[in-house]
Amino acid sequence: MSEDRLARELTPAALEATYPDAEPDQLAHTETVPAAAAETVPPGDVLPDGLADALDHDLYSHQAAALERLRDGENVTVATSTSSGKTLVYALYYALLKRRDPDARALFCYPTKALSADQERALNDLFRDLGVDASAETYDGDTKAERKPLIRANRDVVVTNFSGVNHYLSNHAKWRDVYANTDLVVIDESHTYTGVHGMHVSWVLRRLRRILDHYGSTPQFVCTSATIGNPGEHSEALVGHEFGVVERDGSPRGRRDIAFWLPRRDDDEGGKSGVGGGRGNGGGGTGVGAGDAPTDADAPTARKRAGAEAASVAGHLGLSGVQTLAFLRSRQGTEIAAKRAREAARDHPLDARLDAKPYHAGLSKQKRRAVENTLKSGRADAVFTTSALELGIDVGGVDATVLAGYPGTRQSFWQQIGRAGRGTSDALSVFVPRRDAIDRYILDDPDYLLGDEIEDAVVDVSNNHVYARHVRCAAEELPLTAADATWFGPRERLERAVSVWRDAGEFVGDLERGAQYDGRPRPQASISLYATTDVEYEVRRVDGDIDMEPIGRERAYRDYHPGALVLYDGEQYEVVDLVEDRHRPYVELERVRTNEYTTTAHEKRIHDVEATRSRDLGGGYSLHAGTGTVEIDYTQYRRHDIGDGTVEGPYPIDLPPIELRTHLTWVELPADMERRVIDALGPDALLDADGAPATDAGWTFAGGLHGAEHGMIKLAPLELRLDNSDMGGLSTPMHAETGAPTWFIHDAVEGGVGFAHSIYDHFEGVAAKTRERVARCDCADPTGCPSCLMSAQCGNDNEPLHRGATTAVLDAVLSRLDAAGDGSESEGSHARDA
Amino acid sequence: MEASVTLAVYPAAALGALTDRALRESLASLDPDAVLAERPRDGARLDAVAGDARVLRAARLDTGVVAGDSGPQLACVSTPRGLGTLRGHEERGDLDAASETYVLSDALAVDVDLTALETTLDGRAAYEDALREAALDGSYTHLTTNADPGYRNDWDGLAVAGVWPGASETSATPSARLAAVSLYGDGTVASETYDPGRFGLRGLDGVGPTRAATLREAGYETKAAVAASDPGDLQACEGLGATTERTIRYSAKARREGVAYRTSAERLPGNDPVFIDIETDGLSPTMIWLIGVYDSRTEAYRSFLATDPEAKGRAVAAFAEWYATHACDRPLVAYNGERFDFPHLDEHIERYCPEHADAWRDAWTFDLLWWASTRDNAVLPGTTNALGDVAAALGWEDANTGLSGAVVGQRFRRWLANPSRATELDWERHERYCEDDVRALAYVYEAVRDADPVPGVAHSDGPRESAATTTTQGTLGDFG
Repeated sequence: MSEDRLARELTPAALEATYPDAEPDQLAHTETVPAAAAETVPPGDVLPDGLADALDHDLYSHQAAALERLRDGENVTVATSTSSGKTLVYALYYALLKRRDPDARALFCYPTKALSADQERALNDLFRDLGVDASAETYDGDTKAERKPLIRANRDVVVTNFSGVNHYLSNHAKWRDVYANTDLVVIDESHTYTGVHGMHVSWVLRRLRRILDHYGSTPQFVCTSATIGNPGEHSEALVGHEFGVVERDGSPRGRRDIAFWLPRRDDDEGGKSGVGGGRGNGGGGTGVGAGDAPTDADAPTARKRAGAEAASVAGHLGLSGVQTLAFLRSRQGTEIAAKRAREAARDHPLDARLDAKPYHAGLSKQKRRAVENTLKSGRADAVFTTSALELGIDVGGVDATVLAGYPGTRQSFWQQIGRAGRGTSDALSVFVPRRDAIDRYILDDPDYLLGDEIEDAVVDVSNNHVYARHVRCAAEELPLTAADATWFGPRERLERAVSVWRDAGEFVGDLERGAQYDGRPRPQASISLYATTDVEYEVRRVDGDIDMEPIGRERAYRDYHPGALVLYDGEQYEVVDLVEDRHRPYVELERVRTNEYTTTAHEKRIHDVEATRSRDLGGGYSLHAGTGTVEIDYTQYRRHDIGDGTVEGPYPIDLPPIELRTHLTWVELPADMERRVIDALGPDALLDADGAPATDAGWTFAGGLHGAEHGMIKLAPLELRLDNSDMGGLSTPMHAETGAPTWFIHDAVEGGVGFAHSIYDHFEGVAAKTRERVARCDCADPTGCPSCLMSAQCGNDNEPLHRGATTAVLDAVLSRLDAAGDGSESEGSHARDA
Repeated sequence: MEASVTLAVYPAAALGALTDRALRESLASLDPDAVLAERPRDGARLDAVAGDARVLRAARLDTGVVAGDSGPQLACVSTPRGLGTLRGHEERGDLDAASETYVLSDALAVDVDLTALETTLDGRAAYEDALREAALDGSYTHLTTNADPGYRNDWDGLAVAGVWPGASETSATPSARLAAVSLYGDGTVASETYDPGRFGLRGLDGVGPTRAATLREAGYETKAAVAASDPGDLQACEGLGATTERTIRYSAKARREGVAYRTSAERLPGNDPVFIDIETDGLSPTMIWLIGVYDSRTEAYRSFLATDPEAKGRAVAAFAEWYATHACDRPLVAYNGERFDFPHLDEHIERYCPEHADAWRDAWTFDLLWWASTRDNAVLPGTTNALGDVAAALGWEDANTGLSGAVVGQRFRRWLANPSRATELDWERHERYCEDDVRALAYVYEAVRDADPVPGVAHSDGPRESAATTTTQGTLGDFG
């Protein structure tokens, strides 16, 4: 083994050859993304002389294309790769506007405060280099009170975020000079605004546009986005304007190798996998909290955790002189991995000290800045980060990236991979899969990552709960009149919102004369940009502090009932209390160390089902999107010991049922579906109903419906950018309202968020991928495993599930879809607003 | 003052936060005719201290008239069927037919369903059935314990108002507040909620629950005792520094003596300030229809009134013209102006008379409340920092117009919606109400200007300024 081989030859083969004690099958797959040359345009082609001369380089073709369209007056979405120079597009365009009108001002909105601070510096440097007389300054929750009036009065570019804008709109009179002169609004990293958050941001943007309009401004908008499936549609939904899309990337890149790298076998742990226990979704959001999903304990092949292997690979690369950025799933995970990598370096044959540091939003600003600087200057060996470094913070280039698990979307995957590569030099990325269904799918089918298809970002504005609360803010900002249907229409919807608040005692007046807010001060403060209702449960600790966003009622009942074990930031907690008979309800956690996790059982009913769109597939098959009432009663929970597999309980949960009026998508099947599925399976494949109130055939068929429901929810993120912990399902061989065997997929938030409906829109793709994963899973068990059918969120103990029946059900629906084509859709009243 | 009945509401969480002394202080301050308690044992506690006020139990509202002999009266019904007994009271002449009668119950609840975009009044059908059956003659407003104080809506002729802090589902008042709901003969319901901490020791600046307990342990059980302490006395209590001690003692003295104290050397804008107050049609107004102005240089009061709903900018334009011509070199003083008067004047001047916008942008605006309270430049007396409370505590006697900002806004909206003789306001009475507020503001301003500084602080405003302070701050003499 040549010690510096990796530094000379940054390839998967070199990694395999130099990795200490590599096992023969660890390098499971390799992909190569070939180098691409830059496509450039002389700046003089699109910029006037003064500006063009100030630039000492050509523009990439996408920058030039975007500038051209902006100069034509369009709103533009630039959806190109990481580090392709998207900031330059809007900074140059602002410089152009400023030359035309010295009073021109702009609002640049970033998704995180860290990014704002980073971009403020970059923008001011750029303005200085270009000789543009303009300055940018950050105005957010961290800005000192005495700076604020100065920024409002003097700064050309106000750098902020949407949580801030939500609040500042209330004081628009103080912002008059900014709003009256705003010619450009930039929404950076716009792909991050999806789901519940995206829906809030889209209403904040409509409120902003309304106030801008009030002050006589009709600015242009620039969205910059990672590569997503629907950049134009997404920007239009978000902002409510038409957008031109620039997505042909003219930036150069070096050759990039991707190694699919399996964790080492873990003989010591057998099937136990060393997972801390708790629920996979315990962190209050996907990707937060849990390392490997705990249900991996049952996975067929026992390998080390992805996080541990990633630490070891990143450490090896760092020691070999390859500056490496490793992406972990939790803050705690980054700390543990950095520590582990340093420790492992001591036993490493290269026998050198490893400079390995963690990076996440929980660190102080100074610490984060220091790590960013060591990366920029190339002095770091390995940095272990959460997705915090996935967005555009400038860290220069690193030689290699390591991904501990699939980050949930192709767009994130490429964004993280894209962090590797300095300029046009070659780069290596190492993907270490976990053992959940999606990582498995990708391992089976690496082409999935490399195809042209990227997930659609979902923004849906049909949720009335969120809508009504933003209308309330708008009325506080300026009286609402009929003309405001432009922003909050259609008129009928706005009328109803005004009337709901008037009858609630919070509005006075009407749309004819102006509807005014008359409630307690600052309704903006009651809006959380991450939840659909304003009932939020604060998360507290009885024995210390915990830095966690408040959670909604649904999640509180499901995952934070007393007795539940919760994994957050790598630490385990037990919920000791859920207190809700007060203005600010809360849950209280206590730190515990146990080798257990809990599962929660619930009973669910779906009723008052109304279809707004349907596709009749013929032969008794049909597909529907609409709304319904989901009633969930969390009844009991069990404690599972990871070590010996023992289960204690059930213990009762003393909470009332939750009722959600929300979005649904469902599939109705022909009445004789059970017979067809059972005929296809043959008598030997049947499950034993074993005391369940069903025949073996009925139980097996139910396992197919249940499996299709589970599988589609698990695998939907392969097609759509959504958070599947905000979704749920129900399957039944006979539903009282549909009168047929049915499986439902529903949004798990009040009012809906568009997820279930987007599955309706992408049904075929999601169903096909689910079918493929279930059929190909290498688990020997006909009832499936966590890599195909089992779900940590199942309220029914993952029973019944049946792989064969699931594929049979999905095959039948897919062949119907194929035969029906696209012409089968009939519209009820389409629920979404354009 | 117009006759009114006052109902004080003490949710358990608010009552629990009051010591017996603080409870008595709150009752003395609110002076209710009836008191509503949440739990039976709260009723017993209130019975002991409520004096003449009738104590009601929310869990068991017995049917009958509970407050008011004539003029506005308050009755309770345990169920909607109880409405029938009011008919008997009408027939016997127990109820004043010329005046509004208020009926308190828990039979009506406001249910807001945002997903369906629908607000409904639960219990409405049964209530209206009972009302029809009772066939009452008089005019009634129906109070419910299932809505916040300040809640008011006309459900197709059924006038409903709320009394219970924290009862509304959306945007609720914190339930740990207590409420005073004043009921007038013309159907006006004026509500105010209070942090229980305003009563007792916690009402003092710089005193939270911990310090209140510390003070009590040290034998200072009342504001009077704190006010009477000597410098250094309170410092014997754990954790109190000299500055905090001073703030606490002078806050107590301010409340006790009904005076203000200056706590900093910051100067007020001298220079003949102009005092103003605006009347609007709501909190995010479509029309500023009355602007009251008191010019301290000429000692003249004038008002700019516009009654025509079609001329929304008329009052603002006349005021802006006057200001530009007569007062643009002088400070413009409003109470809570930073949050209300000034931004709305900004907005409306820009919209309706942009020719004055430049002069207005340079206006020297001064918010007395913000200066005193937010910037900690003075301690004020008064149960709350509302202008009326502070002015009254300083000895101002108001003009008894029987109006409040919310009520005035409500009446003007009714006029805007349908200008007619029936809805027309008594303009002169409203001008008097506005004038009273402006003059109260000038009174408070002068009291603060002339207030003694706390020891160790010197300010050079007002007649008390000494030669020494004038000398040391001489360069500030031409402030402004």
